[in-house]
Amino acid sequence: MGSQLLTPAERRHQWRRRLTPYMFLLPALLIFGIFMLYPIIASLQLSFESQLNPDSGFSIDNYRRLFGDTVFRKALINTVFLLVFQVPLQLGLAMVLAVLLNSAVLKFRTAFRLIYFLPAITALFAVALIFRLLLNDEKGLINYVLNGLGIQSIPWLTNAWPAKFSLVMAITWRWTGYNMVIYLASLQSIPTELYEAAELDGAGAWAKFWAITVPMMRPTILLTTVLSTIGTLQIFDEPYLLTRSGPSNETLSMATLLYRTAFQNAEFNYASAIAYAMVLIIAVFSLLQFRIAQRGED
Amino acid sequence: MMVRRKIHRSLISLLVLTLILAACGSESTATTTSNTGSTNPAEVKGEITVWAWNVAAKSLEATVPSFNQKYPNIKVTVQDIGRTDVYDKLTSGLQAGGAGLPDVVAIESDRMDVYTSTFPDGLADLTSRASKYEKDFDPSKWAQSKISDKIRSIPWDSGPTGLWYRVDIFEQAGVDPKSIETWADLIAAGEKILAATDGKTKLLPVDIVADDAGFRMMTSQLGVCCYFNSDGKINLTNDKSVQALTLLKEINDKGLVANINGWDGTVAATKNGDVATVPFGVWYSGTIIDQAPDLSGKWDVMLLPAFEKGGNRAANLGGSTLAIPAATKNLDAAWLFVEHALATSEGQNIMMEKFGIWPSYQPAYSADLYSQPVAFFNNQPIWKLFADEIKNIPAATYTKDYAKGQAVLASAQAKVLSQGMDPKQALQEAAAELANQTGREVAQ
Repeated sequence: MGSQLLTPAERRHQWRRRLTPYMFLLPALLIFGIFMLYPIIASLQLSFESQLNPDSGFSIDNYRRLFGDTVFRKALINTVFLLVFQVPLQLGLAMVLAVLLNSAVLKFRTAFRLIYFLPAITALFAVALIFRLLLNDEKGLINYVLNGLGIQSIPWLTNAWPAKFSLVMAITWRWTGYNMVIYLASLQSIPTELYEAAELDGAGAWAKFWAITVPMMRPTILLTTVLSTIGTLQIFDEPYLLTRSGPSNETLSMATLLYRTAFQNAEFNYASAIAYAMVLIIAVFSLLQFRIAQRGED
Repeated sequence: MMVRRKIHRSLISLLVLTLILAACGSESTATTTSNTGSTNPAEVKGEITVWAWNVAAKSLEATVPSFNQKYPNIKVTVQDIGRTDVYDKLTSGLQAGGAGLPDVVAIESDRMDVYTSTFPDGLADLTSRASKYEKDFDPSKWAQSKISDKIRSIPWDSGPTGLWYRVDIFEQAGVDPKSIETWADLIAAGEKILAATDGKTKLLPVDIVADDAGFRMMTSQLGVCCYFNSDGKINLTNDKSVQALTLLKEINDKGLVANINGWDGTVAATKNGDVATVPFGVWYSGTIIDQAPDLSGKWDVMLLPAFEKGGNRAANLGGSTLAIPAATKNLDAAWLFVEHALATSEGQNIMMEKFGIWPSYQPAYSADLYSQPVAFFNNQPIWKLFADEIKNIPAATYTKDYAKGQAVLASAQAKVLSQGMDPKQALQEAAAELANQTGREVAQ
């Protein structure tokens, strides 16, 4: 409404001033557009093109195939299995460690924190290599120790359940410390007065944990749950490097199937459909978690 | 549509190029100097990059000095980037219209269909340059390089198989290699060896989770290699395939299999005496020589044992080709390199002598080395064994779905060997899964 009162020169000046931030943003936007936005849209488009019949235009062949694909179903089940067992385990463990390491009476706290956080920053290839050495059927350290105790060797990486367990172990090893650090930061932001007041009322350690720590940390717990869920649903590195998706696809994850489809079988259209199925599944899981967390607050 | 595809292509190219450059920190992959029309070898200039793996890369590297004597101004860089990485990068590079690809790339013959069917023009058409060599090459190999009447790669090596074995370990266990004619004989020998070495030395290595090489050799031997029949139907539930997988299960059930991880696992088991034999292609000789030089004189080779007395002992495993991605800017230089390495006796026999890469180029066989004893291999004339074997190898069918077949079979193998599933049931499930993935019919 004020613009009518401005002279043309002023109007030009204002326009330029409004444009300035966009000029600064332009390089970032350009990179975002080329490397993020474009692939996202292009792969959606790819997923709706038939691989066998590239010029037939819009086609839902890939999605139809996805519904009947037993391998994809297996990958989905495996991934959800990981989600159900691994995320609570990892977050529970992270919480216990965080509370323990937050204690003022513990010595060498910094050293402990560092040690638990180290796996998160270690090169994955090295991690997989070490785990593979440890878990080797015949020459691995773990079986060596088991044999020494009179227990038979366990085929860690070549049998279905041990392989799933190894995977859970490796992922937990890698991400527990990371979540622990997030919890530690959140723990330290809880005012100590709350605990002091609770102590005056005669609350024990357990009561304090459930009545103060958990409610105060609810947003952080939600954040780590959602992040871990997304991370687990997209899990690629461990099954690819550690178990090579085997044996018999028992540790195949959605992301390793996606990789196999695209880069080993050269089926980019179908791989794009898998990618979009993953997006949908992850969105649904994340939404569910937000809903559950909100209901808990009411 | 076409325009959109082009924009697609170029943008994806940009992406992939960036990724590949970032990933391997490689130097110039695409330097170029034009050279068309030159007749004087010394005037052909350029710089080419070659992708291969393991011994294949080493053997190509070995041909470079002789190549540079003819063409001093072509600089060749051979990169050993690992077998699966070659394929993964080749797929993404071809999808991106050739971005980031080398000038020459090694592709296993049985995988050619995977690439030429998905990317019909991704590999350069070599017909005009190469057709004059057709008569010189092993016809079965040439057929694998020729797709819809166009030559898309040049056959490199064939893979007649053998059973590589440790002379000293056989002696220690009192096993006479000459007495082994059937797989049953070999299993009996394996049990003797296991006992004589206190369980340290198993019979043979198998990558239970990821590689079905044993199954492929055995089905090749039985004439039902690999996964598909000549009508393109899935051919896994036949008696012979069941017989092959059952044999593997038997060897494993008797505790004679060393379960190894990938290529490096096989090499390690070969080196440190974890296995007494390795059934593999002729090309494995180069790996043994290269990786276990201190075992000179302790290795020898025989044909694979037969399924029944007097049965066929000839099989094929592997064998590769060299292709030139169509996007190369150095087609002439790349072709000259391929021609020198594969279509001359000189090039082929350098690789043969040093690394046991068996030429598909037949004129190479007239060289002396094919009849001479090899000191490393117990002083036996081992090349003669393979030369005689080659004509007995049953024909095989590969298709564009070969790679999928391999993945499905490795999975079936793991079910049988590590979870004790019945081989026939595992193969039926594998056939159904392959049908689901490829839309092919299952042969009855």
